[in-house]
Amino acid sequence: MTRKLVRGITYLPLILLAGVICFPVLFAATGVFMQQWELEDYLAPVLAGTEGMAKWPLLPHAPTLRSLVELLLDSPQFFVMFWNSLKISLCILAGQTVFGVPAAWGLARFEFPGKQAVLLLYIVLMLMPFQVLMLPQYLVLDWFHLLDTHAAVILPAVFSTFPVFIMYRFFCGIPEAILEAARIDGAGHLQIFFRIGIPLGAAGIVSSGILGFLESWNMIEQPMTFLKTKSLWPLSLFLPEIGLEEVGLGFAAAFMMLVPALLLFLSGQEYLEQGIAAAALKE
Amino acid sequence: MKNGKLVRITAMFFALMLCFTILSRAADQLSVAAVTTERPQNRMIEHAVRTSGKIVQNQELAVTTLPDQRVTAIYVREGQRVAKGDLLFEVDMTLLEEQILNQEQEMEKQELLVKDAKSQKEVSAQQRANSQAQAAEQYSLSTRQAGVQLSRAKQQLDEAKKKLKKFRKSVKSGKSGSSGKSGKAAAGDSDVEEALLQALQDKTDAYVAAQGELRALEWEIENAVYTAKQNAANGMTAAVAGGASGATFAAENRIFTGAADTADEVMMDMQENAEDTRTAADAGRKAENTQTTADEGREAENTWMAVDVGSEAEDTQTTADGGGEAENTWMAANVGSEAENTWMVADAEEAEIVSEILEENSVFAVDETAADPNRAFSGDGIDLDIEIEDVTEQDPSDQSIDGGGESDFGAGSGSDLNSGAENMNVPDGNVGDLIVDDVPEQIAPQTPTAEELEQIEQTVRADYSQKLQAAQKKVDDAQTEKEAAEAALMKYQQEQLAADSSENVQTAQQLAADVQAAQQAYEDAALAANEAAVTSGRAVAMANIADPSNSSDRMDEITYEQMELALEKLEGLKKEKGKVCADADGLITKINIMTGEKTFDTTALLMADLSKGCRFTADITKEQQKYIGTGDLVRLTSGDGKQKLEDLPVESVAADENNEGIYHVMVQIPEGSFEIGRDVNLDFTRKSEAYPVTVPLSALHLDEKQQPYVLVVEEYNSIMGTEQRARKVSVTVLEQNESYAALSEGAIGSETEIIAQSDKAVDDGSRVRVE
Repeated sequence: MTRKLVRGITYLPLILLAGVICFPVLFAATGVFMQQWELEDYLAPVLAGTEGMAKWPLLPHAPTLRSLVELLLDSPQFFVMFWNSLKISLCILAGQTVFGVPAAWGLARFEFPGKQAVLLLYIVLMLMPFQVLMLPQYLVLDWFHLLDTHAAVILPAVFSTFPVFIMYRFFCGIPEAILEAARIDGAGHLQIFFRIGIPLGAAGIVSSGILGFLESWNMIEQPMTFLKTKSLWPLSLFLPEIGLEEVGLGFAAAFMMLVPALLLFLSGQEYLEQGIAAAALKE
Repeated sequence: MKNGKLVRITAMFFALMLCFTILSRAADQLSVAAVTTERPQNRMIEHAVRTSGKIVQNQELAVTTLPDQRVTAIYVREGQRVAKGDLLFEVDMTLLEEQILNQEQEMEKQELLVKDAKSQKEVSAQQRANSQAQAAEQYSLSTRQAGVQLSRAKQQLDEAKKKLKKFRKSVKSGKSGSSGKSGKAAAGDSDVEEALLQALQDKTDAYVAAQGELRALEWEIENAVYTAKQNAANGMTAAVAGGASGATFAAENRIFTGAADTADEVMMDMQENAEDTRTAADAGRKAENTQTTADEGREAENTWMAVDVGSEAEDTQTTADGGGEAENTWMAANVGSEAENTWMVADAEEAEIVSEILEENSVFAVDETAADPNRAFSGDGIDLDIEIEDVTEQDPSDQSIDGGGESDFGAGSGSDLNSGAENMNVPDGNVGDLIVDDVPEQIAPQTPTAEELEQIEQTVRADYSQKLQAAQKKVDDAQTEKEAAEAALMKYQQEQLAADSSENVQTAQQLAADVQAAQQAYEDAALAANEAAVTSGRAVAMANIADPSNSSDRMDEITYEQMELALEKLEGLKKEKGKVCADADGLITKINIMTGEKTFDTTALLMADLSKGCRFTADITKEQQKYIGTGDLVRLTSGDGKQKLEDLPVESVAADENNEGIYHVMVQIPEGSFEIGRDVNLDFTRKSEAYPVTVPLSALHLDEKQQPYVLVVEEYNSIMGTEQRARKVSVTVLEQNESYAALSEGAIGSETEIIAQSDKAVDDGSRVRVE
């Protein structure tokens, strides 16, 4: 009994904290079903600069699917951006898989001079924020006449260091004995990579893929900087375009944006947890 | 959650998104307006003026007939076409004939009235002529009588003088026999007395002349007063007659003062008025009877010339049956008789007054002398200037009378009598001025009051007062001088008597007293003659005052002529048997008469004159009026489109006086093209200059401020890719018609795509799709 009481007392602040953390999600979810006037009423102090404080009810006054319908049926722009986002994200994922996985395998399993220096460079580059790399990237893309194309966003992301670093950890975790056994069985480098390395490092690959997807799905600075043509913009740039007049549409768009990421997260949750754990186990 | 399930959900999600993508795009395309665009073109703006109107006649003919006729039949109807000479309607002959008869009777009455009036006028003219003649007769009689008396007195005076002279001579010769020296002295004495006598004679003559002058002036004043009053009373009439009548009166004045001849005055009259010549002739005839004694030896033909100068001589001659000759003879006779008689002295002296005023005349001088060529008369040179050529030469008797006296005349004072009308001046121009200048001022008050008349009289009299005083003074002076001369003579004679021997004193005194008495008698006779001339002269002048004008006969005549005209019209209608026919080819447009009713004074029928052609007339709006003007070549098409006339010039475009904004356009059409009354359409296209930027009118819009704008297609980048939308561009319209508008350059280039048509309403910023 006492035990239960103690557990209950322990859970209460946790539940409260969880509620606070979930509140933005609730915020977005209820906003989707609110009418435009209701949203304007609540958000006017924030978005229109009127007096008072913004407020938010737990449930909408007059629930409606109007915003969602409007978004899905009357906003072809949204879909253009949605598919742009998907294209960019998938291309990045594919690129990272093609170039990142072998790079990580090589760093993890081969010994060569300057390996430590390369790793250090990877870490340094990984830690550098985009703002630092933006100008050099811009100049390089300009030289290659890639500005204002999706490639300008995709290519830098394909050669990002972060997924390589995560997979490097996973590939390092594969015991040398398994590789020895494979070599004894007469497997070559490629056979060992495809037959042993990828299946055993799959959790790392998937988790880096999920993280990479989320990153590219939410990417804002790169497309904003490198894409002038609006029709090339990803969905992440849709929301900044929304004003108070279309705030309902904005909620609906946000909701729709959440769906793929959620689905991907759910499907890759196990690997992701492993991947994060692997990153945590670093060194 | 199993992975497989998640994958299915994910797949479903993307499938849904794909569906929605397609659906939303489809929905989006529905809202986009499909538009067609055009580029501005360089073209002319044409303004078409289309209207329909009617064909109307150029000229209407009014068919009239006499009023008050009964219409028996009308043979035409409105809208009917008639040829020249076609019977239009007929009037009742019975009524017409009745009217003619009435008219004829009325005219007969009027004719009688005219005759009456004429005879009335003739009688009054005859009466006037008679009275003039009588006055003239009286004038010559009295002047002659006075003249005879004067000559007798003169004779007696001369005789008395002679006797005295004779006596003196006898006395002196007696004395001179005794002593030559004293004889010489006696001769000197006689000369002195002679001179004194002569001086007395001169003074006496001067006195008589002054007296006559005074009388004449008095009469002149009376006459001037009368004239002025008359003019004031007559007002308008006098003013109209103006200078002419003034001149007449002035002329008469002249004659009166001169007391010279009625002949002058008759000539005046003849110059003024031809009708008066008859009177003058009559007077002349009368004069002939009375003056026959003086007629001897005068050739009428020569004297006739005088009349010829200022009058219609031939008329006079015919109306007077040769009386003209007689008249002129009479005039000459006047001169002759004056010459024979001593009273002429008075006349001549009065004539001197005339000569003072009129000095420029001297056509010809008739030298007259007294019957007795005495030295006492030698000083009196009398020039009678009455435009008679050389009467003296033609008159042997006169010449013989003149004899030795002629040589003395040159030294004598010349008296000119002028009868030329143009030389007739009023003394100082007073009367003339008064008439000509003052009368118009007096027109305003229609009939002057007694006070005004009084005032006029005062004015006239005041004008003359100075002259009158001068004349009076002259008379007084002359009398004084005359008395002085008498006294001197008397004194001399007394001295002589005292010097003479006493036996002769008695006789000499007696003789001197005789001379004195004769002198007195002569003076009296001269004064009497003078007065007689003035008085009878007045009578002549009065007789010559014209009768008031009477135009009733002429008025009656005019009425008669008018009636004659009316009758002629009636007869004309009767001659046509009461039928009224068309004067020209035409179309009956209006009938004002009705069968059985009487005709009015107004038009009976109205018809369009087809020979004068017809015209097209239509109404256009103010907007259309801007594009069509006189001389523009238009096309006329008949209502059914079968008939067409090209390139007809517009005759006029005029605003309707009653309806603002409506204009009438008129086009003359060639003969025989369209019928009168037909509906015809007019077409005209006015081409403007070429404008580089013209757009279809459908591309032009007006904003809420009524400012014109066009929508151009603009490409832009959107999330959906390159899209097109409409952009508003404000423009200035230079000119426009029903289909195009010309815009000012600048706002739009020739390459700009302008939205000409769209399947939906397009606003600034609307997404469009160019098809």
